[in-house]
Amino acid sequence: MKRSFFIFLLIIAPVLAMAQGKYHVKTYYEITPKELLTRLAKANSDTLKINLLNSLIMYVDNLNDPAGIDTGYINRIISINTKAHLLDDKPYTLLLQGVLACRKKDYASALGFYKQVVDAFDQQKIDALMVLLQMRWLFNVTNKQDEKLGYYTQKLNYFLQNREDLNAAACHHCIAGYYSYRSDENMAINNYLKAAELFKSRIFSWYTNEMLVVGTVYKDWGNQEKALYYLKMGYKQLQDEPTNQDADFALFSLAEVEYRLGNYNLSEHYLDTILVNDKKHDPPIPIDPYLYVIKGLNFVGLNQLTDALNVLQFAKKNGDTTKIAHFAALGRYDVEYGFYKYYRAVNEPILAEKNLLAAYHLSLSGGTNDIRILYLKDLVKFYGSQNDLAAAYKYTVLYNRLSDSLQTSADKYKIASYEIAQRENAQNEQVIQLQQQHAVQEATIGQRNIIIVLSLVGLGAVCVLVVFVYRQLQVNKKTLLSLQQTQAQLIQSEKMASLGELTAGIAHEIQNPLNFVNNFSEVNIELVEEMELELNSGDKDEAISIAANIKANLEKIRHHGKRADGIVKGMLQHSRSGSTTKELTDVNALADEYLRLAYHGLRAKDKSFNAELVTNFDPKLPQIAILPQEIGRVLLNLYTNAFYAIQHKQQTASAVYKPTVEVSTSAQKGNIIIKVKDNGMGMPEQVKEKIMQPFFTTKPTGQGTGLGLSMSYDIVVKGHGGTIDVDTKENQYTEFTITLPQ
Amino acid sequence: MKILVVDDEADVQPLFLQRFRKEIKMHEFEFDFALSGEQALEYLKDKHSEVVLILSDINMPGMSGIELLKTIRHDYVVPPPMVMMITAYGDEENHSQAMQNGANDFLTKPLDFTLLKEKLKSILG
Repeated sequence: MKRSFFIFLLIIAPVLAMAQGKYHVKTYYEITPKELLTRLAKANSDTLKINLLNSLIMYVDNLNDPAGIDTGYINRIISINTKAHLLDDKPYTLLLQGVLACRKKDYASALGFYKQVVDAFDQQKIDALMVLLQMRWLFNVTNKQDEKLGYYTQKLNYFLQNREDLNAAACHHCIAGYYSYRSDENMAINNYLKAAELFKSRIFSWYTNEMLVVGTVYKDWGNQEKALYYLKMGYKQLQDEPTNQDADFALFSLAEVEYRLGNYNLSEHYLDTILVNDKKHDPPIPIDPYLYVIKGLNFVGLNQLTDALNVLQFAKKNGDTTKIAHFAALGRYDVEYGFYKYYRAVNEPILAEKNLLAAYHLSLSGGTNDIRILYLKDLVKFYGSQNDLAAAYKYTVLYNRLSDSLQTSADKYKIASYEIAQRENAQNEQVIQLQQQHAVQEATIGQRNIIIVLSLVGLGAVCVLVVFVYRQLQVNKKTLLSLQQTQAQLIQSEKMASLGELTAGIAHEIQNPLNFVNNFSEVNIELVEEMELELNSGDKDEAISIAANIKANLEKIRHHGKRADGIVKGMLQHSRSGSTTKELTDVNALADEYLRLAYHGLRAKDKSFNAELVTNFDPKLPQIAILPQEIGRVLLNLYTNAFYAIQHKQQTASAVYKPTVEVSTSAQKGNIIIKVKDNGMGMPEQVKEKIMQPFFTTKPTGQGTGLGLSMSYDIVVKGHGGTIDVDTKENQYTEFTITLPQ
Repeated sequence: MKILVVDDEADVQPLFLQRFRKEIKMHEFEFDFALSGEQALEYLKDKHSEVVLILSDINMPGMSGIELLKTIRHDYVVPPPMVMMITAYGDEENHSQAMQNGANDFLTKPLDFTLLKEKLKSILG
């Protein structure tokens, strides 16, 4: 017997496991209980029965005290499953315990069971939306507001990571409720909107509901325009279902907003629609007393004073008999305020005062700040109009005090930050569209290349033309001004061309410090972890020694960060028009920096290029006052020419040829001397004579502007009062000597 | 296991010491440093028998890493230390030059220290 049971387990258990793995209980969120019961009566499959029973348990009306949940449904699921083995019934047995605990009013235990229910549903990937929402009530009734926030926040993260969207939406909704309770409307709206987004494609009626809630939060926060927007959006989805209570809720909020905006007729229209709908409700919803107060206020606004009095008296009678709460989630029953408005309108100050004071005092115990502000405003106005300045002053002080703490003046700007983020998303989408358009343009790059070639040819032609103009100018000096302008532009283009030569070099130069920044940061992360370990194991000395290492590494990170920063700044300076103030400069450092940049710039373009760089810097060289980026530009130009010369020679020279560029600095007779020498092609005499002339170049057309040396000449001779000399021997060497006075 | 690191960037030294601090603590590796090819040769004059591996940058002012490699391969035949070359330019020319002159490996910057650690451990361990 024992053995056969074991065999049964062997065979059946995997089958059961498979079945349990496959079946996910469904919840029909948008079907009424009546309909669910009808379908249940006809249902012939066990899975459908379980789905329907589950939906009955999870029905929206069960949002308050779970004690009201019909345990019969839960028991039926458990008994069906005992026979059919469709799922693990753990969540339902736990839920049963939770409900029973609620019936004993043992809410702390109930909460414990409910937390387990959520986890048990989650294990089977069955959504626990309604369970999560029911738990809210348990948190509230046990007065655990902060624990509530903590629980839902933690669950939210988990659900978002696991893409359990409905559960995540429920968490957002509950978190929003918490913030609403804390009067943090911004956070409340953020979370309601996030919930809405998650609900949108899944349970549309819940999406609509969130819109309405956002509308009412905005209404109470004081931004009536925003409130109107969201309420209308929500109502639009509901107006075809006049029996839906949410529609009345939407209409009522809309009526309130329109009243506040002074649109009394519109407000009346909404209220009358509710009264028409109301007749279809079974049982009717308890909205009437609130509704008639607003109706009364509307009539006062429309100056239909007899109607106003009738309606207000009706509201008061209705409210007194039903003992309706003055301030509730549905609305507020401030019939005294209604009477105040009425008596003001019919000019009976004593009765007006009495009612307004009553309304104000009631608001002090149950109302919210926005209501108090409204009443205080009216008190100030009222006493002002009665020339009772002492009282007016008293309430002004109260008003200001409350108003300061609320900053109500910013009402118009109260747009929840999440909404702003959504707008940004929309903008981002536009950007992406633009990028796509751009990509299409990229596809036509071939055409563009042709255009570029054509424009280069055009540019060449322009250059020739400029030379022509230049010659002409020597004859015709009247156009000198225009030439100067052209030259300035060309100099700028020379600057930009040399910047292009620098870019690759700069990239390489920045890479080194960035490697250090990255490496030392990574090491520090490891060290901090080690330090934590040491601290936990109580080895304080070791922890201190690690801390010292971390600090030293941070210093390295900062050092290399600054190094990269300096390089970028130098690059920016190079592209800018030169400054006009001279600075004391270390010429060795300047010469070295630009040598590296020029070399790496060329290497980045031509990786096979290699040269020996020899530097003989005079360590005692005094600092001199120069324009560093201008002299840097001169050096860059000389280096680029030197590399060009050796590169060219290398192409024809034998393998023994060792391309070398030599840079030296020295101080002589109050001058600073910089020499740049290359063992490249050298120059014939007739070339040497012309090199300082503008637009003279030996490079193929399009490769040089012919302005590099002439600009260098201007900088050194005209800008710094120095000299620039060249010594060269064809096929042997070229040496430029710059002399700068101290 | 002594490793000589040759690089003109001084901060390479604390970086290696930190990156390999566990291995140094366990006495798996020992590091020495030189800031130039010349300094490296000077160092090797006395201690070439101790050094098991040289990690050298290629682009350095003065003697380049390739020249250092050539000199080592010519002058220190017994025992030939292993030499790994490092460069910021992963170009073919550098690579083939390094390999022709007898480098044991060729690495590009930024250095992947995890990879380097594995290589060193498999070579030395």
